[in-house]
Amino acid sequence: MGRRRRLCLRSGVVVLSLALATSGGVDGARADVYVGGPPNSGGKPDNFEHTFCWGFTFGDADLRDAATFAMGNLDTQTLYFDTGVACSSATDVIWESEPALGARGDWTCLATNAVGECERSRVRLNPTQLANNNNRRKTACHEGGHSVGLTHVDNGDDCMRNGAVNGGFETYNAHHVSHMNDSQDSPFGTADSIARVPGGIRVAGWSIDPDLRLNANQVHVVVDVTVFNLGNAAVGRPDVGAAFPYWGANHGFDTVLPVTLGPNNVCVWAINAAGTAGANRFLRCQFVP
Amino acid sequence: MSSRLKWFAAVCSIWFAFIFTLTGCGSGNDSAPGDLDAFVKLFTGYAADYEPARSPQQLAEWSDLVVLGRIHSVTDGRIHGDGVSRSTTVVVAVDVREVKKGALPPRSENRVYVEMESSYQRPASAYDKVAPRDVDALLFLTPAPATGVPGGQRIENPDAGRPNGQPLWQVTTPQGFLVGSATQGVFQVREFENYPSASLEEFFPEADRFPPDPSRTPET
Repeated sequence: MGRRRRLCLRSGVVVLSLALATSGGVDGARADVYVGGPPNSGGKPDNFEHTFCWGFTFGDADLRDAATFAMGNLDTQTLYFDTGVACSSATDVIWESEPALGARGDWTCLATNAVGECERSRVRLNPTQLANNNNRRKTACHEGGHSVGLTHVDNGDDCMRNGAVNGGFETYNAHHVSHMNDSQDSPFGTADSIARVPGGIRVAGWSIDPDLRLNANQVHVVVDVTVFNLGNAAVGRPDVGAAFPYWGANHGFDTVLPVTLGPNNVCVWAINAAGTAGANRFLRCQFVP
Repeated sequence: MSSRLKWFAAVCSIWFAFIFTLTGCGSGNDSAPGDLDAFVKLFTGYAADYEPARSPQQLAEWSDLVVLGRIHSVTDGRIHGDGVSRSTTVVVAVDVREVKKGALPPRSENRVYVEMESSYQRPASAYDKVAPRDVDALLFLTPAPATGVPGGQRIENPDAGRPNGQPLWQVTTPQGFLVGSATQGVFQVREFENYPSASLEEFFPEADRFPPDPSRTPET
């Protein structure tokens, strides 16, 4: 067994232990009509960053306009942040067109993460049943709503009702906005940089715990089998503040760990704020030669 | 083999037989009653925007075939799409006892094959394992498109999920797949709705309204 593999295995044991010790089964324990069961419910997504892309069949300009509107509206109305990306196995919503669909549109979760949250889903719009821009936007909003956990409901001017509309119903009502904004408890973020530098290993990125508005959560880094507590992620990151204005810009971390003897396996964890719902979240692992 | 080893082997055999009996492993009981709750839960992870029928009567008007029967099996179906949006389907085979509307296709042997989206890419075996075979199912159906259509997703294996020559059906709307239980009322499977005090007869095509649904929690 090579040194690199040994390091990965040892680190994996520590990482697994950290996950098991801290997950506590909090995710999935929410029991309300918002997500996870009757009536007709969408799936809880993995975090507030809601990426989307156009699938192979989604070339129709009118459908793209409707989907762009729906994702932009999700961004505007709620704490979810929409980002158009190239389709990958981690894209939250892949938009497709399906004229043979026996419905106006549908949403299917295709893959979940380790705690059962939806990591990749597909939305299909049926152009033959969407007569005009109003109905295209309504159904795009509707399926986007399923992708963040909403159920069917006929309650006010809200796109989650079923069927054709004649004006309006292109956005979410306050009740649904409240559900969506309250949907995430676990911290999220990323480690932009994990690299060897003079004096050690530089680890930089950002993390937000949705339960802490302007305060910061801790970040831990596991180097092989040693855990480093970076303290609160509170370094200014204007780009993060622009993407997630509700939580502000002060959620970055940027530290050089005094680890000079390599190679090392480095894993970064966002720590769930003590006393709040949610669980620690793995951000990124990297082998550093 | 020494007598001590023989004694050890015998004890092990008895122990394994006991464990297998206890867990039901290897029973291979195809006519097991299944688990209605578990079956319905497997259909979460899918939702659609559709034109809801106002009554079973209207749903039947929109349907080509309405049948009453029992689930026979669930098998892997066609695969839709390409790349990261590629998705699997399952085919629910239903043994038909009574045709409420339309006619069964030739050589059907009183069995219809209904395609369903499989969320989370679950294999058919997961559905088949818990499929409720001991309760009645009522299905409102339209033909599923035989192949992919222009502008839509490619279908990788158009003939999957049923015997050669048999058509594939789909539920007319998510309201159209109902399972009735004497103790749990009626489940509208694709809508995850439970009508605990209703009977399947209340959903037959002649009914001019759906039964009231006391399980629906009002939005607050």
